[in-house]
Amino acid sequence: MAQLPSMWREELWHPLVVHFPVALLIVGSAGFALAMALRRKTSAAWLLPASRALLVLGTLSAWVAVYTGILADREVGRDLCDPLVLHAHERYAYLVCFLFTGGILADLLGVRFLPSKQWKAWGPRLALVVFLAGTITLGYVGHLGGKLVYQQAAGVHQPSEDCSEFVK
Amino acid sequence: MMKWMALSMLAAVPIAGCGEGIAVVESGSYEGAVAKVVPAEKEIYVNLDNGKKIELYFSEDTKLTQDGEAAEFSALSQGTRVRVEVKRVGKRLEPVTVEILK
Repeated sequence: MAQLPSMWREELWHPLVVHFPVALLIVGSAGFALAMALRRKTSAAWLLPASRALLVLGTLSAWVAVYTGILADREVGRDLCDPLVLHAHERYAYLVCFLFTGGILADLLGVRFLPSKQWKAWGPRLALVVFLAGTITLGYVGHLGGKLVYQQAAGVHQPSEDCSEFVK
Repeated sequence: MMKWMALSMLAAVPIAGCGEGIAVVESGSYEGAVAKVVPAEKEIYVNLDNGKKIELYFSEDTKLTQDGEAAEFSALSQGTRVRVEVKRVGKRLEPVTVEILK
């Protein structure tokens, strides 16, 4: 009789973690863009620190997602019919992490360390460009992840024909 | 705002071109040098003499030889010259034989 696999398999940490950066970074980037657009309105002053918090949490969770992705790769990489999709998924995931980390640093450095008020404005502007580029790349990473799961069944248990593993 | 969004789109374009360039080749025999060994996964990357780089996961059926005799996976290291016979399954390459060359 076939055995039902555990839900605590190493490759399943990745889908558990990966939705945090997707949600936090997309909402954080949108909030940051909105905060920049509404920066002269005092009623929207809360938006900038709130979006910065989301972006920091999202970036941290993105690095955790990369780590859990490496763990998943060990389990599923050798059985894929098109491993090139996995390579692209990994490569662009690193890029997302570097873009958002770089954007946060640009924002921070601009606000904290650049000398004049005119210069200080350029940090967040540069960060905005990087965050939006990162969000586009993040969408592509998600698309590739979807292809791995829904086209190649990466990490997905294939039930036996008679579903015997579901009979106790 | 539209200007910044357009700039972001432009920033994402060169990003799409980056990559380490793992290739898929047809079934057959190829020579090249080992680019990277991943012992934990019994996996190697090989820079083929035709300029392409391929990824190979060893299976229980893969025959690794040196001087006509069976060899251990640990005999492979970066730069080792190899002749590989691969079978293409989808876009996955399965190493049938890997011969360590002098």
